[in-house]
Amino acid sequence: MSYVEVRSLSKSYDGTSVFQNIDLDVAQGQICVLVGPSGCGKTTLLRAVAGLAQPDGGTIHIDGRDVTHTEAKNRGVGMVFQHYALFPNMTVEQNLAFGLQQKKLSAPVIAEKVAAMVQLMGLEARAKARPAALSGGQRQRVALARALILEPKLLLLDEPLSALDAQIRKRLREELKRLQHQIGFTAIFVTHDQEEALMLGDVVAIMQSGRFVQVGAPADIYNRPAGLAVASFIGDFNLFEPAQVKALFNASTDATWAVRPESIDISKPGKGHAQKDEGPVLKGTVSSVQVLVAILRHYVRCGDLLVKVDVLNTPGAEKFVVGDKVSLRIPKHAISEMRQ
Amino acid sequence: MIPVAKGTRLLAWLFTAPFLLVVLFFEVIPLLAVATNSLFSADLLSLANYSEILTSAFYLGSFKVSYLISAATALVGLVAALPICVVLRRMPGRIQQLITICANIGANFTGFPLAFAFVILLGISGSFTLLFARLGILDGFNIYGTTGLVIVYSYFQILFAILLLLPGLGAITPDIEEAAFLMGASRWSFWRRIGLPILAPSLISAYLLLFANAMGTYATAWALVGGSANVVTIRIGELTAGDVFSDPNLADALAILLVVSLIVPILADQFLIKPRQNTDA
Amino acid sequence: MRERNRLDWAFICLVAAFQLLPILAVALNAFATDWAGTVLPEGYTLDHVRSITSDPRFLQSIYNSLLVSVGSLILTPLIVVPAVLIAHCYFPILDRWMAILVILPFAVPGIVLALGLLRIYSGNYGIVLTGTPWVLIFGYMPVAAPLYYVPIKNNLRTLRLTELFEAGRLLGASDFAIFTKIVVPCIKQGLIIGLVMNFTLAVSDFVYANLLVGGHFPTLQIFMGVLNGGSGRKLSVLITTYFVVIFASTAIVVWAASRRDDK
Repeated sequence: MSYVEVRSLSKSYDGTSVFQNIDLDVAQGQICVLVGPSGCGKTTLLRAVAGLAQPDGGTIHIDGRDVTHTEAKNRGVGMVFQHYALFPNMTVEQNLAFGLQQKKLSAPVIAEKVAAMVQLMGLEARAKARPAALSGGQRQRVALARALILEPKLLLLDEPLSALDAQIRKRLREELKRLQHQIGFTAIFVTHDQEEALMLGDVVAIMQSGRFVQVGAPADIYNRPAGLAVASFIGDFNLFEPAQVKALFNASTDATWAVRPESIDISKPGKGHAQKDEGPVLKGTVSSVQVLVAILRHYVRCGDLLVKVDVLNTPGAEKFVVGDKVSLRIPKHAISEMRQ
Repeated sequence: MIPVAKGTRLLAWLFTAPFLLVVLFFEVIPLLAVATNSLFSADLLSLANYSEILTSAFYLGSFKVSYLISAATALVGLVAALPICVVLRRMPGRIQQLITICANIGANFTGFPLAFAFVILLGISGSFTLLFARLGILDGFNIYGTTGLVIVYSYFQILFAILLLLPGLGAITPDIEEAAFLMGASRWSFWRRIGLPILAPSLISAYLLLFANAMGTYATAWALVGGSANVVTIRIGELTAGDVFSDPNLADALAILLVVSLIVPILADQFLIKPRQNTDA
Repeated sequence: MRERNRLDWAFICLVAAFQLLPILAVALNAFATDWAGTVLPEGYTLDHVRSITSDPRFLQSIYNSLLVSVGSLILTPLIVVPAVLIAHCYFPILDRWMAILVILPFAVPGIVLALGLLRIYSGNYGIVLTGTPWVLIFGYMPVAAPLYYVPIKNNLRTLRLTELFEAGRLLGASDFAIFTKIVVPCIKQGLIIGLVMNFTLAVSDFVYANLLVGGHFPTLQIFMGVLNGGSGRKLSVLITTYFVVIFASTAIVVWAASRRDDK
């Protein structure tokens, strides 16, 4: 039996099913990321595990204990909310102490634990501040600390970073990962951001309209999407439909080809391709080039199709400009065949 | 709404019970008592009290005077308070808060204190009366009558109107104003085409409450003019506490007529105009 | 822009002067030696203050008014505030009814409510509350309820209550603890506005006091009515006292509230 075990869980609101007969396993010490578009049911699933939403059927076990009908506060779960849910009338320290006080711990013990947590989260300078005086990133760190200080069996995070701006989101992600290595908590993390999911998850579960379309390690999900739905949701793909495959590559298939932009080899015609790999070659014209920080994205027109090609933005890299005639080689191993 | 466990739910109802009981015993039942009593005349169930009022020029006249004073002072209150609130919105939050608190004290500044203050200023030998007389205007001004009531009521009506309007003005945010000015609207056309239409519903609500406030004013009228003021509330008080004219059942009928004439427009506004606005938004 | 700003301030000062003028007039009158036939008093004296403070009715009326106000300030929030909070958090249906109940005092004039209380509590049904401070303390309650309801509701609307409750419950707190330790401190500002307005209402009321307790329990306002026929100077001192009491108590409460916020 795994550490967190959800079995055939169902939930509907006002007759509309959110999810049905859903299963989920999370191993101890891992972060499981539920990712999917808004309205796919991921938050409801998280709230059901937390005990904030009552499922219509199914069971939830945490650490071997059936908690399906246990009150939220007795499940041993901690939760971090999207909008922090810090108590506005309390200072950072008081927010952290609140849960410990509810457990009726002695004042010196509480003070000691709060001080340790404040230090762990790097909040020393803001310990006496109220939430209103904190930045978004600091608020979310306090919220995380408030949940962790009770040493929960399971940490639940409901889109905790989506209210923050990109820079801070990135930093907090790394911090969360570091904390997890340091403390080793088990967590379920809900997000709609695929990049966040791949970076944070030990296991990533992609959810669409109330069911999991793929569950697996981040690398597998990126490289081996289980279907078109996953492929179009995670990262960028060039999709070649069967008719286009026929027209462009003169190959006959009943599947759609999905090719990552960074696995396509681009070169000036006649120069030859660096990669030795077998694979079809396309001729086209560069129609635009975008600088995406570390990569250069080329849109290459091949017939009536616009193909995305990514090249690392290094000083020595060969530069292509709009109007250049280019040749694209698509390595065979980079083609994922997708069937509906 | 926050979901709540069964045990907590019961406890929660218990905590609201005292309030509900107070409302029942000190608001609902007393009003019902007034309504019932109004239907008795000489210990018999009848509409005699109502027919007496509706055929008496004296009582109808008191309603007419009350209506005129209330309609006028509610309008004065709104017209004066609107520019004050517009300017106040541009002030720092602390000043707004200070003025709100002062306006609250002022809006409760009724009865003897207010009446007497105005007598000092505008009474027969009041400083302003003398000042105006010396300047040759307003000679022979008399505060102890309907004109006096309109002036004195206007004082607390303006302050009450500030309290009522200030929150609603939050709907006109600086960016709406700026957007309009960037599109070439003049200050005047902004208020005529955008500001006032946005405010219209809260202006209507405020007017009705101001009107009701003036209609229900008893202490100030009593303090300034006494029993000779022919306004409804004075008639009610006289029939209740007076030695000569005492007729409690007639007082109750007058009170019910007063309430009905106030409650109908206010409820109509709350339930017909306000909800429609919310669904439109 | 600066020009506009200065105009704004001038306008607001003008409004403040308009509001203060009658109050100032009464205060001047309280200390005037003789003020008849002139625009301003001819001289100033403390005689009127001395003559009224030696009047036992003066102290009695202040004592009575304070008794009613303090009673109202203790009991009203204790009964009204839990109901407002619980209705807002748990029972939307009750909340809708509360919204109606709180506009009722606007639509039903004080004199009508006082009339009703007189019918019920003057012995016709075996209960006599008239003539005692209790009828005032409880009679003011439905009228004072909106004074708490409106500002507290404004505070509550700015809180993400559902999330706060969920967070609190997950941290092991009972709903009672969440109310007392989180919700109530968060609505402190609204509560204070309510208290100030409740106090002003209780000391300023004449209608209820006149009809329901009258001479049995003379409050400040009743005493003003008694003095109205006689010396205007004494009445001025009384009104000035009333203002000093209201301003001082309001200032103290507001100051105390803002001080605790700064910490």
